[in-house]
Amino acid sequence: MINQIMMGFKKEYWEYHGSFVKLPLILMAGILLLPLLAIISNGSLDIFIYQDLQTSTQQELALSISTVMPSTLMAFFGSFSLLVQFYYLLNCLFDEKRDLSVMFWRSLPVSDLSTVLTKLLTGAVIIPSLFLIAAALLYFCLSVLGAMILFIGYDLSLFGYVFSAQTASSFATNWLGILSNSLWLLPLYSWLMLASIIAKKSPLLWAIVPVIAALLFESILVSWFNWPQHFIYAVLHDYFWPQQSPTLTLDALTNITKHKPINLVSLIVSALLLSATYHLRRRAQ
Amino acid sequence: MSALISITGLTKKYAKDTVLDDVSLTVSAGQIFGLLGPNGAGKTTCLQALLGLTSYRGDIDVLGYNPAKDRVKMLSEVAYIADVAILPKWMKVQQTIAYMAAVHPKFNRAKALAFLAKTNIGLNTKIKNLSKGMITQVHLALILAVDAKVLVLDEPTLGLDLLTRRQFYDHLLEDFYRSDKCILITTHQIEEIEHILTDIAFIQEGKLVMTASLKQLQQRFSCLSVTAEQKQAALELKPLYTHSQMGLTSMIFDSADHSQLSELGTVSTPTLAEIFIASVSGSQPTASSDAIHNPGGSL
Repeated sequence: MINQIMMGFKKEYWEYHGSFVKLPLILMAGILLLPLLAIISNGSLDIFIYQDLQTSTQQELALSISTVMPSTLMAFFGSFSLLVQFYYLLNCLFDEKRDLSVMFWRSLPVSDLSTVLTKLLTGAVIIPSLFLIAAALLYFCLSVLGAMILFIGYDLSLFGYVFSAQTASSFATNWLGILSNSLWLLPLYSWLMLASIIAKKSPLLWAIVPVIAALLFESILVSWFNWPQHFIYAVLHDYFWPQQSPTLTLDALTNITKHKPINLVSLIVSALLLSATYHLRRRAQ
Repeated sequence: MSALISITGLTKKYAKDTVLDDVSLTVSAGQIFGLLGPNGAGKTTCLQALLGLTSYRGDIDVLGYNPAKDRVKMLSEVAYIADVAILPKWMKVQQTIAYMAAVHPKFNRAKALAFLAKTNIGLNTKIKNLSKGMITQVHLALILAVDAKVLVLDEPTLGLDLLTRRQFYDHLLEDFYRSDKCILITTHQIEEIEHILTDIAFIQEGKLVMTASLKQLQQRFSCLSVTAEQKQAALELKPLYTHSQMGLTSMIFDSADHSQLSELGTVSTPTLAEIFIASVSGSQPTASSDAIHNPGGSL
């Protein structure tokens, strides 16, 4: 059973490794190579840090390495992660129908429930975790590189701030943030999977058009009957853009769960959407 | 012989269309059972119901499992090839083997590798880079490596060339078939599987029109070839199907008296394809032939 579950995740990795692994690696390589290329072309370390050293104290530099850099990297990789997650969840059930491989998968002793949950976990947890790991690795490389440049060029030792307990803790907390994010965005993830299993041609259209249609229909009703407010719009807005929206700073990310309007209704809606997805997968031929 | 598959009163409807209408059949150990019928007769729907891939009314029992409720458990003991083109294109051959080994409790990796070693298919090759014949070989390697009691094949050689089709069925007999197993197969290429089938069922418009063993068919049906002079006399014996070509007329008779037929012309055993055509269709006349389906003949 464990073998079967692990193989389910491995299969998703095989199919989408370009987005899961190659993209974070390309981002890492790009961010690492750009400053190195600049150093090589200028032949000097001054371009990055000379100006900073004029105005910054050692403490401020340490703060940059231990706080600003990780939060910036996590926000950067997190944005790409969201895009990949949406792409994956929209296509994971659609692709197997398009290439007819769903008939092969369903001819094997693997339950549809296990397949749907594996894909949900991959999209909701595995992908952002991989991007977070990439951000952490890149942070380690950049901070070691920065500390070495400061040590060699300016006799400043900031190695003590490279991957300090505080930084490690912020990455760990962000990983926990992924779990809370997954619960918060579960209705959206479930909706995308439902669009993926329903769509015969464009899952993106299936994901977007019904929402737009519902909002337009509601607008017509509101103006026609002079209702005081837009109910669907208000529900979606308050859920996905809560008033206490966190900014992408380390502290805000750490406290991210406090601002997410996860509630029983959103969990029930998610369960209904996932249940519909499961039943449609059972009928896939 | 113990029944491995038992179908009773299987009915499937899509809106107003009845795709399967009260189908009942039994497939036992040792049988290679051909479910034969024209396009749209309901063969694939019948197999899909059998594998729990579509909803249905009626009772189906496969190795003691109800496919609608115990699909996953049942598929541990049933192997299925739906169509040759359904292996995921993005996968490498070795990944398909690794996947099967992890998810299928009765998959024998060594057997699959041994089968593929006899071919020129590289394990690192992606499915999308293989020809249709090669994909069939990979799929067959995966299925034959499963120690299944029941093998279900739905048009498995559709679109393959003659040589690959022949190899497919040869492997099926050599590497899978045993007296304690059964194979249920649908195909249009009846001539090519006639020699391997032990039993058949003809299905037309969702209804079974005949179920019999090959031996029973050979005893029951006769083919009479007559010249133009004897044609009228032969027609009076009410053949099931008549086919004229180049001055010679062939007629298929159901349960006819052999001695009576032999007085009119040459009597032989009809092929399964001829019996099939006679049973399920009134063949279309062509420029070089003239075929008549006699509705008076009963099955």
